[in-house]
Amino acid sequence: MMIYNNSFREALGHALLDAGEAFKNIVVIDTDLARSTRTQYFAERFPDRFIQVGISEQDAVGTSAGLAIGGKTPILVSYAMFILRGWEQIRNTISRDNLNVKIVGTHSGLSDYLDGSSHQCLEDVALMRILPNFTVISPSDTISTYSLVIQAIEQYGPVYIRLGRDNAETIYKTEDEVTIGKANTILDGEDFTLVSYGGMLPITLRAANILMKKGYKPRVIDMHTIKPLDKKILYKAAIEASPIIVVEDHSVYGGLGSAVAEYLSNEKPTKVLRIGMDDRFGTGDLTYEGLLEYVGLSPRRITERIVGELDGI
Amino acid sequence: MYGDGTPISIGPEELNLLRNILSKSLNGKQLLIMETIQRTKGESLHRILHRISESHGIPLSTLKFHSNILLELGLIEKVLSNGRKRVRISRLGRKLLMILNGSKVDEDVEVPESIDSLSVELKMRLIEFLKRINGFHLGSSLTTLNILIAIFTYRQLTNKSITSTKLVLSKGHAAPALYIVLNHLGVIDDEILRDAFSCDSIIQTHPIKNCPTVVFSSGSLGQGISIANGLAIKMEMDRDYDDIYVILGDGELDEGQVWEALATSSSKGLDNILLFIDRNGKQLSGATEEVKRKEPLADKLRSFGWEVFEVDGSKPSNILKKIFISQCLAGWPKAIIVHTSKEIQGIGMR
Repeated sequence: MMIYNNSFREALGHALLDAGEAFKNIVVIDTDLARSTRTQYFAERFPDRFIQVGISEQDAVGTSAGLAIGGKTPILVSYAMFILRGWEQIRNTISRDNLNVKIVGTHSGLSDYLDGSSHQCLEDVALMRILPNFTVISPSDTISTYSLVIQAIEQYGPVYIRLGRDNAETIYKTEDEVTIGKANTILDGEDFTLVSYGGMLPITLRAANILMKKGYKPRVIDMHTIKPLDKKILYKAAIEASPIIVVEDHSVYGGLGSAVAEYLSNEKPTKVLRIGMDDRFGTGDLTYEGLLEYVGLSPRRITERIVGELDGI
Repeated sequence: MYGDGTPISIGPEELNLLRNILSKSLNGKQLLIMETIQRTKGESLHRILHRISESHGIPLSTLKFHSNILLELGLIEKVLSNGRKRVRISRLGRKLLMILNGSKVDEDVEVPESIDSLSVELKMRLIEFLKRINGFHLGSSLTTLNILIAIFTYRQLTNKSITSTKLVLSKGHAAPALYIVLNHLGVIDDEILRDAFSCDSIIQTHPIKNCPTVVFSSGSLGQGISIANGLAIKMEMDRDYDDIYVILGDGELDEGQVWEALATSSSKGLDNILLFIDRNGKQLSGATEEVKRKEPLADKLRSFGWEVFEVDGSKPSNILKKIFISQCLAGWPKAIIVHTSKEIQGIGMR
């Protein structure tokens, strides 16, 4: 079943289109990327609520803040990588003043395989989850993208939504299966727990399938909300299915792996293995699968890494 | 002392001659359209022509014909903002009207001179107030004080609410001047002033949003115009116009975001933004022109699509006059470069 063409940005474009009808207060801010991020749909339907600020991310963050101060619900959409150009503005204004701005970073992680390392954002989870007042979300398929974007608009306060570009796979059947702050167990098992989010979740599920064929019984959790972290599900996993293995297309420093380790080291010391980008950048490739294989994040290479680690325990 | 930006000087006789020529080349209907547009905020040409047609009993088709001529001549222009087409007077059109009607000079506007003596009094109080923190940011606060006095006096004289003033203190380090002015106006009481700068206080060395009139928590430079733009766009969408006052330091002009934001305001014709640049010529490492050149500042701002005024900021009454003059023009964001001096105040920078 293909919904929104299995593309994160298509799901975003349609969510904003429907949100535009439902929430008269929302405005969308663009930095000359509307065609690429699919906010074009919103722009065409609601031209008077679409604000083009041009290729100037810092200004876009400030303009969004001003709109929020005035009482609007601004949704700032740009590539994850380039929104970070306004990180200090996000920190000093949106986070500090707890402004109701929703920031959507598209083309995150390795999803922008062809553009190469200048466009592949491997740092955003670390940089956004350390900001007070922020909620950080990264949906794992198109249905949850649609659902979580709407939920983010419905709740008050700043939210960062990390999205991949295309290359989604179907995980959920209905929109009500996902709720902000509540992680989902996608596959139950007791040998160890794989925790992932965003575009890496389907890749992790494929790795889990390979591992099952090898006789392991892995548990797989979709941690679509990175902040606030669903501590309950982690605590339970630490007791029932350790070690915990976090898989993400993000730096191994500061990402979900770090967040999980930070929590468990205090509450339930457990071995946490972090699989992600090891202090390095990505590169360009002709295919998404090719890039994942190259950087060690394909299902095959994730499996190898896990088996190697498990043998060592 | 400082001109309003006409780079050529025209003698009185030449001016009369020019006026004569121009009045013969434009007819009364065209001038009526131009003058109405100059006064009208954020409306489409169609709506404005409709109104003129109704109030003056001129057929709409006649007005359309003349407005087309004005568009062709470049005396009025269309701006696209948030999907809406609006019309405004062009820079050339504005100059033309100034020649025809006579450029308003500062002396035409009457403002209470008492604010100049108030300025001296508040300066003393500011110096006293900052003694407890060894004059922290005193220089910057002193040069901004007159701008703040002028803004709040303008609000009072035009019967606009003081407490709902939208002040964007982009140069956050001038906050102490704001506290002294707000205290004088009775917005924050003596007790708050006494407990200033402590953990729970709403008045910190850099402004936080809990303080009355403060739009956002600043302190990090170069962000104010972007915030004002967002607020101005919101007001335009909901048609609840109010002025937004932004105070920028001249050192802040080094920040790239300032220029991103200046371009946004003019692209969208955000005319309820009034920007003050505290041109004291000093930044932390020395003279502004030595650290990073700011001049020709007025020309730079004009080239970014702003209407620019300059004024000697040694007296708040001078600044207040410019505020009144600047408000006669719809469709353009307006900047007032306020020439101040940390030296004249007799106090150096910290």
